[in-house]
Amino acid sequence: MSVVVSVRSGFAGKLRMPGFWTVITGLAVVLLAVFLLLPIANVLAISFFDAETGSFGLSNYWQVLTRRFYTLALWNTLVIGICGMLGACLLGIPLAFCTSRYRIRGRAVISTFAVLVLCAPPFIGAYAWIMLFGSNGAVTNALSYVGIPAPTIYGIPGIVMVFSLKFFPYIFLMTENALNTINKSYEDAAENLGCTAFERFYKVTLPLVFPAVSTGAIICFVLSIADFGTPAILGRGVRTLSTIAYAQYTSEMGGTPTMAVTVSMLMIVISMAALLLQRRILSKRRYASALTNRPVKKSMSPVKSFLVHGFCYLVVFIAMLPAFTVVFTSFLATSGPVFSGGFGLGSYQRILRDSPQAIYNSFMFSLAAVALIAVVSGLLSFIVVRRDNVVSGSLDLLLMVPYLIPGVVMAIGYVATFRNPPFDITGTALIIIILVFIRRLPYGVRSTTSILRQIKPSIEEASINLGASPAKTFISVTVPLMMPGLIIGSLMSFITAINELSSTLILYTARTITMPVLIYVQVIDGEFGTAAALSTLLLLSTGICVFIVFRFSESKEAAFV
Amino acid sequence: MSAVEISNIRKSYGGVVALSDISISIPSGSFFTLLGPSGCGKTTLLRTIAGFHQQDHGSIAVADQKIENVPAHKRDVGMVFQDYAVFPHISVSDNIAFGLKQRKVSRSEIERRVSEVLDVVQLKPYAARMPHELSGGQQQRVGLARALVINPKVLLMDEPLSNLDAKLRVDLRRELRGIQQSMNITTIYVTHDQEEALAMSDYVCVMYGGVIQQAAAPWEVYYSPANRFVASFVGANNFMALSLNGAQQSIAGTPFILPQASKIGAAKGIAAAIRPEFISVNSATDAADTIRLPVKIRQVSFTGREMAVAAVLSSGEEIEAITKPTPDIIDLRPNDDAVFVFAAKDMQLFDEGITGARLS
Ligand SMILES: Nc1ncnc2c1ncn2[C@@H]1O[C@H](COP(=O)(O)OP(=O)(O)OP(=O)(O)O)[C@@H](O)[C@H]1O
Ligand SMILES: [Mg+2]
Repeated sequence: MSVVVSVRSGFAGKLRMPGFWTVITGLAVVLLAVFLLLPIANVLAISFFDAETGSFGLSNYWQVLTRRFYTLALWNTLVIGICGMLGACLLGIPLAFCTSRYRIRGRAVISTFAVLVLCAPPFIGAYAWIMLFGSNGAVTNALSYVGIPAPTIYGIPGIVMVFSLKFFPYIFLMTENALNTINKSYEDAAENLGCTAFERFYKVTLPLVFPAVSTGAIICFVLSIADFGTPAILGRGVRTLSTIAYAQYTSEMGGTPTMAVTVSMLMIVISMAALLLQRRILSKRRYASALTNRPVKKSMSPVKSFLVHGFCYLVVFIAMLPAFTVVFTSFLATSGPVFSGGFGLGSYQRILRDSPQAIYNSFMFSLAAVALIAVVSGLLSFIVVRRDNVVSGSLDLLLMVPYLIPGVVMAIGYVATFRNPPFDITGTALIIIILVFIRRLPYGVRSTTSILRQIKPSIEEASINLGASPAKTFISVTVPLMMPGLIIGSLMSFITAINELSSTLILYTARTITMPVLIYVQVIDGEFGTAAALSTLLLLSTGICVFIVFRFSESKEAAFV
Repeated sequence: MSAVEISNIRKSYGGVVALSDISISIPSGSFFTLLGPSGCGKTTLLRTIAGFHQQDHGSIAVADQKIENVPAHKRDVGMVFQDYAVFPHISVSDNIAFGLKQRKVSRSEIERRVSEVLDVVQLKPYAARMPHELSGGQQQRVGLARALVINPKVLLMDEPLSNLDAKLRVDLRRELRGIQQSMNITTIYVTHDQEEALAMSDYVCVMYGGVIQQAAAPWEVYYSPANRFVASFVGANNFMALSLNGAQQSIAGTPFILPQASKIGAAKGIAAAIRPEFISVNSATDAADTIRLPVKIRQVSFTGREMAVAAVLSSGEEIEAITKPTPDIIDLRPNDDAVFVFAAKDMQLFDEGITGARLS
């Protein structure tokens, strides 16, 4: 009898130990607080201390909003952001319409190219266009040979063109997916009610895909205003907020980067405002419908077919032109920085001889960051999807933040936060790895979250019920089932990690230089040969990852947006 | 001796009370079914026993050990899931061995017990298959085998057959009951299919609104419902307003004197209930204590074994009788006049309200 009694009180009296997931949730909160929120808070704080006097107040913001130097940049940024977004829509929507409504030969090629454009290093577009249309570019020279002045690639029109061609795949892939899942009955009904083809598109189809289009557009806008490499290379005196932030930061080295930070805050505000505006508009338009009547792909008359195919291939070909140019250039023979005519592997020999460190760093940093992302995103997505508490709800929201904060801002925040001993990690590989990890974590979490939502919770409950602890259940049941999502998420974050420029450009030292940074430096110095060889290497690693994602993912292209 | 003793369990989600102070004791080796309409708290109760929900207060004891604060993975209660929840990434035999491995059972022992239970659920030939190569019914057998093999102190099942087609459901429910009886394992079973509940159970526990309405043997629940809700939820029933007039009672203007009326006392609104199969149509019996209600026929439908005769009382209340198909009943037409006849003792009286108490 006494045995029974003691067993009873043994259970009843014991305080519950904090469970596995409570501990993990706690750790996740600490991790994000220290490496995401703290640096941002620091940046924010810096912006309120006057650049000259150091007094607290809004004087920096006042300067930014009144001095012509800044207001012009603000104007440029908005113009570039909006025009880049519109340009991307102009290319992406018709392309999506063609591929989803007509039978297109080689559709796979088109979407593969689109994905490659999306994943290619962000700035190769800019300098590849310089090599073609710049003051000494191949096309410029050829045209001036026959006496035609080439259009200039520099300045706002050039930047807008590059952004349109670079970011249209977001619009294309999202819109195409939406068009493919519209119930055809709507369009049939419109036709039945007497709409012409154009009216039908304009009054029925377009409103139905508006949520997808606007989501793609907002991504284009946010990326356009945050991009640093393109305006830096093509700007020629046209300043944007991101180039100003970088220039001010580097010139203020040693002092507090006050104005750089204030400018950066303005960029964040613009991104957030754009996002909120889009959310507001979207919230009134949610259409759900069953896909009972799938859209069909029509065949076309020969002339129409020729035009439609021509348009589709022209768009993706032009968008891929920078990549082709870069690969082509990398195989040109050079002597020093000058192309000497003919082909050769000289550029590759030079990068292997002069910059093995950058290549090694790029791969090591990205792999380390991706390993962290894989582990953390697996755990975080479980908290977000399976646990029902305040923290899990706000984690979801918090993970949106890295999308919105430009790399420059995060980097400045990291320097401001982690430069005081004993936590001084500036100049180390660690700071770059952690920053890349935080910036790319959302890609991993998004992928693991979406697969976890498809796994029924009862599977995990069955495991618990059979006696496996929550930790054991996660490792032996959840992780194996999550594997495809983990792999795709890791590859996606690897692609973005290895191409990271805007934040590493601020954090790098001679020992921690990476390929994108080196390419940027070489392009500024006019060393196009080696820059092309490095870019080709980046393109190749990116291409391989894209290929594997295609193999693993069911909805192929959709995985990339 | 009771295998499961639940006392005063309360569970609320935010402000919504899903279980209000549930107390049950379940005898060892019995098949105990929770029956009730959607949202009445059956799943919540089962998952609270399994440890997937934390109760607000109350205690749960299994085999005399309190488990209400034990983490779910240490409770030793087997569970069979509605959606099978068979691990898709490991084979049938690995699925069944899963719980044994957690318990650090030796390899040879695992092999022996897995093979034994595979025999019980008739899955021997499928041991090496992956779950996606099995039909729904076979997957649910894996789910059952996986729960049985760990010799749980109690087996919990939440609508385990509801995803299967009707024929298979009946076959599997016989098999399930057979296995349960031969292994003599205490089982708590959730269903909202009352036929299933009545056919399988030693005890049926009818729940409504997070409260237990009645827990008793199937025939008791059917013939002697504790309140109006049980009377209407289990099996078909006709409810009519009963009027009191001194010592005399009446339904729809037809007066009679009930033997059970003495207990009614001063209750205000009273509902009289008579099951359709107790009513005969136009029969001439003149036995004492019969009630004869004049009705107008609405519809007569032939269902194979029997006839369903729907009619309406002069008060407008609808009433249905189920009888053997005889020629004169088949000949009834809508708007014909008829008389519904039943014994007064078969009629039960309830207080007003959905869960009005039984008065007779
Ligand atoms: N996670 C939850 N959060 C909030 N309320 C819940 C939750 N789960 C259940 N409820 C509510 O608790 C009540 C009981 O739900 P429960 O799932 O136990 O019903 P059930 O009897 O199993 O129903 P069904 O037959 O439909 O399975 C319902 O009102 C339900 O809405
Ligand atoms: Mg339920």
